[in-house]
Amino acid sequence: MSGNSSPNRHWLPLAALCTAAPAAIFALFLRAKGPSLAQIASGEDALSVAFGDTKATISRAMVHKADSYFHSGMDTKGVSFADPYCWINDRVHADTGEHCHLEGEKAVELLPWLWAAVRSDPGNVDAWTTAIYVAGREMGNRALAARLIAEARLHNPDSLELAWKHGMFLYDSGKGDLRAAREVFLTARELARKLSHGDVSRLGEHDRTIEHFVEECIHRIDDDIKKEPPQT
Amino acid sequence: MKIFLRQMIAIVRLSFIELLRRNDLYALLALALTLMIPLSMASPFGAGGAGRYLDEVALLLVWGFSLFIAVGAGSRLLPPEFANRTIYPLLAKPISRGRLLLGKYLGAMLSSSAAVLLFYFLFAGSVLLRGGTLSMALVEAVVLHILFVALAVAVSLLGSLIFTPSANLVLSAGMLTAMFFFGRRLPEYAQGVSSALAFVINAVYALAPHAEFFDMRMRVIHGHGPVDAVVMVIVCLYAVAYVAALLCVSTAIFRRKKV
Repeated sequence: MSGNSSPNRHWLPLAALCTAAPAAIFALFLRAKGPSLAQIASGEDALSVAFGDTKATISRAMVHKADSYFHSGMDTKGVSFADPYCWINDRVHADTGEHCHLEGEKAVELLPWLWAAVRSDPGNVDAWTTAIYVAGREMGNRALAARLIAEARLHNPDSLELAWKHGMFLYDSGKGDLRAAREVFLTARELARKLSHGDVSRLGEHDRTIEHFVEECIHRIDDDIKKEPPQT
Repeated sequence: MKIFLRQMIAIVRLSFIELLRRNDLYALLALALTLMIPLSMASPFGAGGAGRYLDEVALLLVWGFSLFIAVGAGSRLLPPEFANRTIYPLLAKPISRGRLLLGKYLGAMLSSSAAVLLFYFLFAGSVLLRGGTLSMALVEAVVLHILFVALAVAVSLLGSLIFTPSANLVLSAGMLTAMFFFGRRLPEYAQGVSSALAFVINAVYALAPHAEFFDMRMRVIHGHGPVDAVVMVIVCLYAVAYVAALLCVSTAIFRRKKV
């Protein structure tokens, strides 16, 4: 009988693996929902502990995909090689050499990937800020942008960048609610001081730049408010 | 010539019956519907109107399923005949080993291509249902996809004559998948590594089947229009030449194989 094995039998290990892998992931997910494992993981979601890096990697890949969609599927490869295979690839794939963007309402095509990115890793601030930009600036959907900012800040209360984005959203190039924007910028300044333990020069370069912008915005709003005619 | 054609038609017909008799196709269709229907109802962040991601996921499934079917069909052409000893009555008939192999290859290739056509028919239906339009790029994408299937069947057929069935499945599917996703990046990977490793990567780049040549997904999804006719002809010639070379090697091995 040994030589009479069914050809379908060779698929069995692969099929078993394909079945077992999602089952194992699902089992871990269910266990993560239970209180006992959550305690073991010191209050953190056990799924985050088990697959933290994987989730962050998937999230980054989703942002990369959204970027590819923003460029209408154009590949942003930097190097081009002078061989026949590369020549064929450059012509079969969508590399037309033109630089084009998905703008306006069409930018809605980016949202599914950004949604997947923030669901994979809610701590991915880049994904949140891109989604806010797409909703607010490209699609002109301020209600959606406001909802995204609120959700993003809920997941990332210590993000200086999101606090600044929130303020800028309310400021709306000077046309928005200046007092509400000022309040958010003041909160952002407090956050910067808290993160740097009172010495903002200890912040990283990116956060230091944002802190500088926050100060600029506060001064600008103060000037704008001074110029406002007194209310009767 | 008449006898040759009759022999080929008989073998091809058997391959179609084999594909329909196996449950792979139905299982894959059910899986595709199970994944795509809930996905089509999703509205990320509550904003509707996005459709390209559905096309992307659908086409990725079509590619995955076609690889599954093509590699499976190619790898199952000869080993079961040896295992079940049904190769003896086949070889006893007035047909050369070369013709038998060619007939079996054509049958597997055509039946796998029929499955691909069915998948694309469903894809086109989903695009039209969502109010989209079909372009010439989709026709070219189908043609290139069928050429990829022809290549995949030939690769797994050759592998089935060299490796054990399990090893063949893993190696054939693994190599084609790796080339599909990373083939065009190989020259970049060869830069900045040791010269020995660069030699290996460049050798793979030169010799391995370039599955990525047949991937027009981005053009279809983002509406970039069809590929230039000259490029299409070159890719077709590449596929035909590669398949012919693989079939020649397979025939040579099959002729020397002791049964």
